[in-house]
Amino acid sequence: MTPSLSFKKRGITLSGLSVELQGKRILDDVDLEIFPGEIIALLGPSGCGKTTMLRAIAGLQRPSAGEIVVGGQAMTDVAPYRRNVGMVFQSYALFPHMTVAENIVFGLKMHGVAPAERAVVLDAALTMLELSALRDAYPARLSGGQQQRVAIARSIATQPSVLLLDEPLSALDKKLKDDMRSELRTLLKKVGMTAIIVTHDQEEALAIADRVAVMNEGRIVQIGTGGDLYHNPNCRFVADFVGYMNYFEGSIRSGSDQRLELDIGDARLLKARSSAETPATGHVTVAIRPEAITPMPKSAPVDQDEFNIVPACLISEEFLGIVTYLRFQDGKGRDLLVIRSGQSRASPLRVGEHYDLAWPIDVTTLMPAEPQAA
Amino acid sequence: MIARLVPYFLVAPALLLIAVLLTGLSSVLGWSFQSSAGDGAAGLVQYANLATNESYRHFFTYSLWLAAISTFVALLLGFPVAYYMEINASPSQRKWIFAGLLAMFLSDYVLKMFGLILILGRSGLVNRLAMWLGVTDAPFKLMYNEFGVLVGLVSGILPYMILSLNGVIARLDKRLHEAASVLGAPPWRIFLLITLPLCVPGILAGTMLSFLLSLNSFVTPMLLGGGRVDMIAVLIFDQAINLANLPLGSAAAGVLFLISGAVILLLNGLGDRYQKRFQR
Amino acid sequence: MRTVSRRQALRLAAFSGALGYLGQMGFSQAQAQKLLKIIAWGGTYGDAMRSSWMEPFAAAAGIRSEIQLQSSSMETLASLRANRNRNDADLWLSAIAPTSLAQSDGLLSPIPVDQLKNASQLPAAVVNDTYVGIWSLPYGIIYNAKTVPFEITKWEDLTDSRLKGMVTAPYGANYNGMFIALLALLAGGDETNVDPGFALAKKMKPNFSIFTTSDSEQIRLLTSGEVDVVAFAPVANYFAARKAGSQFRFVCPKPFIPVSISNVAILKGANVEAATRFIDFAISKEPQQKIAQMLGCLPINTMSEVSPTMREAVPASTEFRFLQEGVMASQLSGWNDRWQREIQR
Repeated sequence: MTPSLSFKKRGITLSGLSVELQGKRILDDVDLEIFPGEIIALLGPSGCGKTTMLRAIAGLQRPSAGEIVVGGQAMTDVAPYRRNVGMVFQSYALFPHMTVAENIVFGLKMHGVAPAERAVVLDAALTMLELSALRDAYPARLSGGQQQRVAIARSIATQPSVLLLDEPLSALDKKLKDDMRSELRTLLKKVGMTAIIVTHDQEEALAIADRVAVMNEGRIVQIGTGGDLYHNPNCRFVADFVGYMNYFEGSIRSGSDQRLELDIGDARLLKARSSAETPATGHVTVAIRPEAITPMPKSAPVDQDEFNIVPACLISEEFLGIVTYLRFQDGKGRDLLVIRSGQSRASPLRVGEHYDLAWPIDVTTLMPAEPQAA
Repeated sequence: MIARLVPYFLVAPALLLIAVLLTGLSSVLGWSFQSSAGDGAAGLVQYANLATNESYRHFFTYSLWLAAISTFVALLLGFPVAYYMEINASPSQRKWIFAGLLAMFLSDYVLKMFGLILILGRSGLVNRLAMWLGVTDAPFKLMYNEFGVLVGLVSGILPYMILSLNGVIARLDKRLHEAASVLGAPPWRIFLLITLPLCVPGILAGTMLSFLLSLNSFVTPMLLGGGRVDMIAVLIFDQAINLANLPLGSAAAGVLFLISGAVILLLNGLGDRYQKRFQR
Repeated sequence: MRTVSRRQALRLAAFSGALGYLGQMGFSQAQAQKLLKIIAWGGTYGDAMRSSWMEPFAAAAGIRSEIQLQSSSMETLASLRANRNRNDADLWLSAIAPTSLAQSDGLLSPIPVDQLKNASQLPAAVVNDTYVGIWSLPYGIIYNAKTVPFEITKWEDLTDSRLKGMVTAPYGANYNGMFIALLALLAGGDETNVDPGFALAKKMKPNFSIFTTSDSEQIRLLTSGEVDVVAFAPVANYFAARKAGSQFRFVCPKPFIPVSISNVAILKGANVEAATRFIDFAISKEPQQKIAQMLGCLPINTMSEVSPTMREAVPASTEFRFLQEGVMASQLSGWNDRWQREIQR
């Protein structure tokens, strides 16, 4: 890392942040604590308010209520050009009439940095992002990946306290996107900046961020590491957004400190571990990741204390290389997806045959029942 | 067979019209090489006459000056309107502004100039108001002088300027402004460093159109100049029609044609050079 | 069904086209005997000519005539020069300056003056083989009696400082340079020496506010209150302004007023015989009376009666001055430049 590009790590605190646009609540009373040097991803479908939150932090969107504090300083009423945050826009928003070098030093000029110092920072940024050969090119002549690197170089040249990235990879094609994902994380970690990245792509969020905040309808639904969200989603929305999930609607029949028994109809009982968040009684949704399920021949012995078992018929099989999708249907007509590694040497299954679908009780997730969920 | 001929049928009338216009123009230019009585070739006598006569030269220099001033003023006045219309106006405001521009386009030019007289004349609206308010005892001379012609020229070219600017302003990427703002640029620097440079193609187009319209204007100096504002078209008319000196009038028209062509080439060249830099 | 081959069709088309053309030729030649084409002004002029001259002439002589519009006689001169030998009009209504220029350019046919039976009733000065006068227009000052603080009686009053910024004067050498020549005569010069005239005009310069290019503009500026004095106006403009209000006065200033002669000339290649008969009719007593009344000008025929309204505006005692318009014609361009340069700017 070049010594001239150093960053102060600053935390961000959002409290009660709300944004209203034309009477519509885009962001609804959001609280969020981001630690210095942390990379946070805001994940959610379009219209969930994730970009609005980013724009509010940048100062491009006035909040209707709430506080934004960056590095201990209240920013809520500060004009965007006085905040010194870095922002990478969705399609980069490079200045088309300026060369790569001019784009990168733009912020430095605005901050009144002396030309000699600008040159040093420019060289550092060009080197760091491998743009030296393109310093005098105009953005229109650059490839998507090059443009993205220029956008990043431009946004970090002023050594901002936070970096905001709005769908930074969405303009790239699939292959480049995958490459850039890890490159971006490496870079961010190298400079050690606090960063917020907005995306609707769960893989991107999980790959780049330390923590992911899943958003829906202007609120943060759940925040946690990729593992937290994957293994312990607190609702179907999060579960669906991070990977695939099989569901059973059921009700708690009996419970102890350690175990719950769940009635999912069809005179069938499932077992799950209770935790602080799970309700003690009433209707629940039972969720199982498809990759946690193992299809077993009907006759195979299974430890009923450690595994849940649902008999089902194999409807179809899709071999996708890395994985194989197996679609089952149980006696009540419920569809169940099972994902098997493409490398799996387990005995081949036959469509139309009945199997026992088994999964460990430990990975049986409970969440509040959602009557609207279809 | 007929289907193949259709494009030619569609193109032919316009081409024919252009050919007729060019024939007319070339015959006008032909006249400029004749002697004043129209009885023989005289080489460049008329052009020499235009170049050496201070009185004639004044028509050209003064016209260029007025065209430049009016274009500049139209740019200053038109830019905020175009910007407001594209960026800030609500749909209904936009509709009203557009309707106003359309009215300016559709109304007869002569009528518009008479309208200005009603407003700026000696007993026009402005003067009556000023005298009623006691601002002045004697009416201001707002018409039938250079000022009146400038007002006329500016109001004539303003809609063209605004519509030329509209295009580029509408295409401005709002995120570029936001990017500049986040990078620390206050609004006025965003305007100077981002908005203005990106509007250059529209500014050049509007400038070219406005400058040429002003330079070639005839009705405005005739009606609003009070005989004091010398513009080229008035010279051409005066020579060709009032003084029956078609050759000298034609020569003046020829020079005007050359100046206009030079302006087009210059501004187009500038625009091309500017845009080539950042276009794929 | 009979099919027509392509070649046959082409022949047929060519033949019928030729037939049509021949028919048209015959037709137009036959018409040329009867139809006179007169280049003249439109509007009130055209209307007056039709009812005073053209319709009665057609009834009396069986020769129909039509007007080809001109917006100014100088414009026609330019177009006659440009379309030399391609002109198909017979008569041209004009002023002495353009007619003189056209004559020296060889664009006219000589008028057979001895065949004009009514010529003896006209002043000798306005009848020659280049042109024949058709009416005359006296020029004076029109002013707004409500706003002008004194009574204007002589041309020199135009230098009065009380008229500062109130006066409109002709643009360049408009009115065929008559105003410039008049000023020269008043200041001791003449049609060939206009320097004294320009010196006098410079004294008037602070008073001049607008320079007008047409009669209609003069009238509009005066009646809309934009100016208070028209320095040089044909009496007809006074009649027009008078319709807008009784505050407008026409003055035939001392010591004399110029009179312009409108004239008619026969163009090269014209039907001279019919054209001559038309001119003879136009200058006769009755048609002269009628057209003079309609146009608000003076009849050229000395036997014709002058209307009472004209007498009121231009008293019988007024001294007229015929300017040497033929001499002035060739100098107009120079005067025009000089007036623009020294007086208008």
